Amino acid sequence: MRPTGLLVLSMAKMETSDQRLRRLLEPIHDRALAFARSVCRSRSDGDDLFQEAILRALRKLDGLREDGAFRGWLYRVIISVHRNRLRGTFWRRLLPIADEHTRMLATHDADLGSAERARVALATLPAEQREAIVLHDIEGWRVEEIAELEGTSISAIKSRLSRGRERLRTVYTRRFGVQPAVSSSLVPGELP
Amino acid sequence: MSTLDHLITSDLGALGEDSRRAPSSLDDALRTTGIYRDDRPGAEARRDALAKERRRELVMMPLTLAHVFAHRVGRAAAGVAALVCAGVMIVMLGDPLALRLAAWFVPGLNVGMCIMLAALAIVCVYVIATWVAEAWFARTMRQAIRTGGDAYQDLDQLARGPLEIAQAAVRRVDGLAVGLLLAGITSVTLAFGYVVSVVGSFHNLSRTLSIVGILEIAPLAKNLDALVLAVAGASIAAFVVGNRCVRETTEGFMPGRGLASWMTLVAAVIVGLGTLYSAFHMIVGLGFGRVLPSTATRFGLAAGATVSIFLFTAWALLWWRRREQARIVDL
Repeated sequence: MRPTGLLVLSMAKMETSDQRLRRLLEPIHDRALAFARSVCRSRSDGDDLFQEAILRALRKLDGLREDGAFRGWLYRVIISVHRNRLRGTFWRRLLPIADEHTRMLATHDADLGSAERARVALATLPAEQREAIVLHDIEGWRVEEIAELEGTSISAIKSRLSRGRERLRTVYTRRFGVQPAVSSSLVPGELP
Repeated sequence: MSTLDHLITSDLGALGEDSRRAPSSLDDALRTTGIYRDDRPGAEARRDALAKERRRELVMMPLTLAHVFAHRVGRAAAGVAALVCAGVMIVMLGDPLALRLAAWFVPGLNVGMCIMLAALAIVCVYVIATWVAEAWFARTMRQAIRTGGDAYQDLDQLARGPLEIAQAAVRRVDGLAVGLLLAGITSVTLAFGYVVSVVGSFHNLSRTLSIVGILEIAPLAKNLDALVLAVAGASIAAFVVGNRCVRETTEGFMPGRGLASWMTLVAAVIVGLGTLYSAFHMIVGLGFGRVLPSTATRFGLAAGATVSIFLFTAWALLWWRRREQARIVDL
């Protein structure tokens, strides 16, 4: 039997922020983590981003009234943390620490696997276009859902997707030397 | 879908698979939420340092940004006022009752007074909008460096400095300032120029400027379709120019270069002179030979006047905008 009415209310009151976050995060944890990993320049950056977002989510969880809105709210937190980190990357360039991303860039482009190639190409996109493409093409969100998440119009999201895809084509053509009109007998993951 | 798109889609799919591989457990994710004994003092120290930096940034920020923002808002508001004036004039021409009502409310109202009132309204709106924009800008800058009790919220808010906020605000009103003013000036010039030129074809100057003179002229209402078409076309073109100006600042797109060149001015003068020449021909034909102009002539004159006024205004606005951009580009 499912608890209803006052019982749910009293349970919610007794629940701490940690417990509430655990309950809400459990169904979407894997997908949210995958999203964070996909928008970042490396998996480890994605893990860091996700942890930072969880910390912030825990601090601000009291401001979330509707449990049903948690998924969008958490993704917004991840996006906000992601953009804040991107603003701070200027200073990171001055540090002589080679991370996974710089090692990946140092690798010859032809040696990159499919996932790394997509990661390198996505890293050249502005944050808004990158997030829209990851949500739409990788996470399978609908354009309307992304527009609601970002608090913008559907046409703006369509424009971001279109421009992002166009820029990806440019990167693939110029950097990886992929020609648009080569034969279609292409094995996924293999450069033509 | 091309091979390239297939490859991109396949790579994005592989990236998704890679991101979903070996997810950390929920416990790991939540365990780290308690790893800091108390991170608040550190956050407060970072907040204070950042707030100090942002205040210094605001003090050092040149006033040019505030001026450019305020004047762009003023120009956009003046453009709206001009569009409203043109719209009111068109409505009054289309409905003689509205014109009689206006003449009844303002005794002695004539076309010259209408032009003066419209000019006064546009200038007033410009001045007031500039004041409001300056006040809004100052308030936004104060808010950008304000701190409260929550250090984390302050850090989020201070992540964007006053300079970044100011530049974003200036960029946001760029297209509106160009597009709305371009549409407004073109429309209001066309509307009043239409009245003066059509009535002037049939009467002397004093009659041309009187409201009664307008009411007696049937061709004014009959040729309104050409005027409405010209105003609508100019407004759409102005919208496109304004939109391109926004894209230029966000994506490095440069479509306004052609309109901002000296050749545009030359083209505007040539088209304008040609239109004036044709208009004189038409007026002489009406006055002496009672030859009514054909539909093609009427629409041709409307198109010529629109193109001439539009090109000249667009050139002037884009030239002014280029000066503004040069002042703020290095900030």
